[in-house]
Amino acid sequence: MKQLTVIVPNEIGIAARLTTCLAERGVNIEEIDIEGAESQGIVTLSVDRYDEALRALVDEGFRAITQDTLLVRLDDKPGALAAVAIRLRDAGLDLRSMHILRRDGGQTYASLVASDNTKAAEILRDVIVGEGRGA
Amino acid sequence: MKSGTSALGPPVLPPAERERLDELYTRLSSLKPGNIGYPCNQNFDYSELFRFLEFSANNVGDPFNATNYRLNTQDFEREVLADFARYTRAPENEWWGYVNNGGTEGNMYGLYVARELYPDGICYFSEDTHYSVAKILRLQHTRNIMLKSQPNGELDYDDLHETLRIHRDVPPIIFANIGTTMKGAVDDLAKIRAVLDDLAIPNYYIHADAALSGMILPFVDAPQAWDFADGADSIAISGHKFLGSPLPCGVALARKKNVDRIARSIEYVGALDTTIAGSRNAFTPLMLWYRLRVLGDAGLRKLVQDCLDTAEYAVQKLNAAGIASWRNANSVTVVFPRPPTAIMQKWIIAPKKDIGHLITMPHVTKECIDAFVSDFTAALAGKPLT
Repeated sequence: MKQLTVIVPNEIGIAARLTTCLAERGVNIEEIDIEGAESQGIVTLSVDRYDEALRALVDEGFRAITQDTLLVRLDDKPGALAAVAIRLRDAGLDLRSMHILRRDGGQTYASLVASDNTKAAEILRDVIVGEGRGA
Repeated sequence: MKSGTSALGPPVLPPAERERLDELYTRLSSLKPGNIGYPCNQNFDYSELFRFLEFSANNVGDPFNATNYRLNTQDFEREVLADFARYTRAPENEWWGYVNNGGTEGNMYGLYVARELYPDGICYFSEDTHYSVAKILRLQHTRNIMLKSQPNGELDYDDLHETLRIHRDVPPIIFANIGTTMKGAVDDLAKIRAVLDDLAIPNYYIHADAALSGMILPFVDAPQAWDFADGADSIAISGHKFLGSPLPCGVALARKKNVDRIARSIEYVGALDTTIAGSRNAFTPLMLWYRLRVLGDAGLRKLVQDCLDTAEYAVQKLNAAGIASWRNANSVTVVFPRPPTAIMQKWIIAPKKDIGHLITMPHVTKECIDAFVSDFTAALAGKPLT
């Protein structure tokens, strides 16, 4: 199962734009889950042509996150990302990278790569966006 | 006869291919004046150096060490580096550097030195940092955490403080933007060092990405804290951006003690050469040398002041036309709301999210700004562009 996550602005027609851009490139969506938040939505997709889907989404201006990366949602306050890194360290995991994807409405969405993403997803269950990612 | 070989003499280009080159020249010439969205100075004349294109010269290796390949310009390269060391207030006789392929290689070099000094370090950089930095960090297997930015694009020092407080046991590698790509913001090294001092962090490394502003700040009256005297351990500056060059190039400078230390650690390869590339361009150091000699310090200062004046003119003109625009201190990057697509195409504007920018490089005149503002207002009013 190849999974992609896209953070999109919560506006009318965005899901149609996203699915159309994939359809135009011959990508078949096998599963789609859309979670709406205040000002943005999280779209989780399973597709048949993973690399082509990534290229299509990026070309359309979407920020796509691959399944090699965890997506976390945190309060937008100083040190919030660092606190996550500490939780991983205390569990014996090594943080490779942590990048801000979007800051909006008092929340920060960030991508995260750890030495063991499956364990990291368990430890960060309370802030992980989407289920079963990182596996 | 695809290759253009001639039985009667030297190889010649077939007429159809020559026509293609003529078309390319026409296309590039037509795009040049309207290229206002990218920090690439289009005003230069290197015709005096064209004769040096007759040689396959190569500056392979450390510019301060002798090379067996004698067709090189390393003596000119060293003079260029000495000038840049002066502009960046590098400690006398305690710096090292080389001319490279541009900002990314300069940043790669600085982060490489940092990672060699602190293998367990974590690199911190703001969300306004150029995407290539994340690529470098991944390439070098350096652990990294992105920090928040302030609305003007400058590093959020509170986030830096809180993040470092939590990770006090790990040496920080601070990647400071000296002129961010989109907003021209400067991460103030004095403020960064104040955070490090406040947390009593003894071991750290600061790399300054001064791709564009590294040729601006040495020539303004009140620069932000950005250079070696302000605490940078390494600095990357582009050559093709503000100075202008037909070939991408840049300069990497670092504190000599750090470079020497990593050179010792890699001595097993048989040379004390820490440059990243093998063969290195011998023509770009010559171009930088020529440009610096033609302009001189006074000429550079005037060029910088003219560009800053044009940037302020652009801000005033856009605001007068009802288009909210602004710029950071000592910046030639003018920020405004994301323009209509037709404007972005005509004026080669690179948008990001809801903003666009223009950069008043030396080839961008006030007349050019007037034309841009006129087009922008026309497009907002739904009128076609001429």
